[in-house]
Amino acid sequence: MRDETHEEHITRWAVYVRDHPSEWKSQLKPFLDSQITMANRVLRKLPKEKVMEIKGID
Amino acid sequence: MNLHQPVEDKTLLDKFSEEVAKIVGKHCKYAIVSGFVAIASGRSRGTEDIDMIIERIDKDTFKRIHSDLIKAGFEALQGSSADKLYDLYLADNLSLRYVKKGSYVPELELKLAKDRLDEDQLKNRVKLPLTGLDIYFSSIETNIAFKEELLKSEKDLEDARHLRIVYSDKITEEEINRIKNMIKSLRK
Repeated sequence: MRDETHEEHITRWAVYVRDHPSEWKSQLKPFLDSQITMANRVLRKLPKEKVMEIKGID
Repeated sequence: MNLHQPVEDKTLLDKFSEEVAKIVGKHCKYAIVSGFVAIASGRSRGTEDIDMIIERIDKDTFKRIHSDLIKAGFEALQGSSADKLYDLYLADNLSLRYVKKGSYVPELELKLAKDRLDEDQLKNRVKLPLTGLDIYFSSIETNIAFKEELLKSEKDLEDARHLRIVYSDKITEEEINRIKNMIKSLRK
């Protein structure tokens, strides 16, 4: 269970997004893009069968 | 707010979503649902999946969508035969999962509307200027209702709280409760 500082962070960030509609995305983009890039980097090194297993596809 | 934000500001998930929405939207009504609604609205968490509900199309229409996705460089992880993909997955209310060839994420999870609740999501789909994306999402009230009434994980409840704050001046409790009542009668 996360503590209340985590909840405060979610609230603070949501308020920032609401009040700065043209600024929030440039701050979030590096985090979101790196997650996709790093996941692909790892998954491409695995055999396809392993990736399918990870994804729960028979 | 501008629905057409500069390309350099779009995330990889944004570009992927817009590409699939453009292709699927040529053939049928669709709505992006669940996690990406929150993320496209600024929620700071990762996801690998874009969940999309489409109207209950027949096999021929699906074949055209599948063909256009293949031409655009996508592949279905469950196989290449459109007949089998439709019969074994879509017709059985299971998701089809498409990725760009050579990548494993992001992933499109495509499924047919399976009940009145899904049809309601399609009927009341919206564009969300805050996202900067020219695609249809299920309504914010729908996403809050699903996350608070059905899904209820820590992540989902945090998504709902984020959406409630970001869209505080646009959502109505009456609509959220209407959808929660549908969830109670159709999904529980």
